[in-house]
Amino acid sequence: MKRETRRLVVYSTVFSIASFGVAAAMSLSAGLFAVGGPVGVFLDPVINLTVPLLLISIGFQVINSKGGPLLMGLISAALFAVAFLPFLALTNVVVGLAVEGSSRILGYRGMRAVVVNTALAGGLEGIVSVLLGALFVGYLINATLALIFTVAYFAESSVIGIMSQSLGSYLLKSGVLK
Amino acid sequence: MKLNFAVVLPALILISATAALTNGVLQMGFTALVHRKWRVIVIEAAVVAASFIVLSNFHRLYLFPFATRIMTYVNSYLIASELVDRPTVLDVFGERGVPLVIALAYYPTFISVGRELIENLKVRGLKFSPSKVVLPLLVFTIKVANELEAAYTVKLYGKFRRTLPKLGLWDYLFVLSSVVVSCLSLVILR
Repeated sequence: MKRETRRLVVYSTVFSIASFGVAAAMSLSAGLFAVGGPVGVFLDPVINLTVPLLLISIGFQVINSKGGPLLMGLISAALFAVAFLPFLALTNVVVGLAVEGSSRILGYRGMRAVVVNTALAGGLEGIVSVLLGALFVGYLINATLALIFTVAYFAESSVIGIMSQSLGSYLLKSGVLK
Repeated sequence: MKLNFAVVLPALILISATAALTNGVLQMGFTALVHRKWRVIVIEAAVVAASFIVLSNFHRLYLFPFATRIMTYVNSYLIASELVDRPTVLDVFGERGVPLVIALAYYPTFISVGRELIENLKVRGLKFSPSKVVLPLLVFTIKVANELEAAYTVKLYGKFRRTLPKLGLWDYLFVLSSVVVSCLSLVILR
C-alpha cells in the first residue's frame, strides 16, 4: 500500500469506529432501543448528531484529502450493516457521497468548509435515517413533519459544525493536527 | 481466565448468526453470563424489558428481536475485548489483525481515559463541562490513529509464525456451551 492510501484508510477507520462506538454507547445508555421502533427512530438522530457527528466532522478535518468522507461513509455503513440496521447503512452511503461532493468544492478546513460539510452530513443523516427508519418500522411520514425535522437537524448540525471548527482550529494551533 | 481468539471468533460468529435467525433471548443471556459485568447486565435487562412493553403496546412485537440481537452483539464485543488474550488475535490474522486489536482495546482504554479525566477535574476542583472532556478524548483518538499508522509504516507488529493454537479447559468449555446454546435456540424456535 502507498503511504497516502495507508494514511487515508487508517485514519478513516479509526474515526468511523470511534464515532460508531460513541453513538452505540450513547443510544444504548439513553435506552433508545428501549423505546425501539416508533419513538426511537425519531430520537436517534438527536443523539447521533452530537458527539458522534463531532467525531466524524473532526475526522474530515484530520484526513484532509480526497476520498476521505466517502471512505468514512462506507466504513460506517459497513459497521451499521453488521449491526443489522440497514436504514442507517444506506444513510451513511448517501452522506459519504454528498460530503465528498461538497468537500471537493469547498475543501476540508476553514470555517465555511467545516460548517457546510458538517451541516450537510448531519442534516442528511438525520432526515434520511428518519425517513428510511420510519418506513422500516412501517410508517410513512407526511411532508410537513419531514420539513420540520429537516430544518431541526440542519440547525443542530450546523451548531455542531461551529463547535467542530473551534475544536479543529485549537488542535491545529496546538500542533496535534498536521 | 483468558480465551484464545482462534476459538472465540467462530463461537461468537455462530452465536451472532443464530441470534439473527431466532429471537435471540437465549444468546443474549448466555453472552451476558460469560462476560459477567453486572452493571451492564442490569442496564441491558431494563432496556430489553422496556422495549418488550413498548413494542407489545404498539402491536409491533416483530421488531423485538432487534433489541435482543443488538444486546447480543454488545455482549459479544465485551467478551472479545475483555476475555480474549490479545496476542492470539495476531496469531489468527497476522498483520491484518492490528486494527482488530485496536478495535478490541477501544472500550477499556476509553473508559480508563475518561475515568482519569474526571478524576483530574475533581482533584483540581473544576466543574464538569462537555468541552473539557471532549478535547482530551479527541487528542487521544488522533494519537491512536497516528500511532497505528506509524506501527504499519515501521512494521512494529513483527513477523509471526503461525502455529496451532494452544487451547485450555475454558476454551473447550466456551465452544461447547456456545454450540449447545445455538442449537438449543434453534430447537426452541421450532
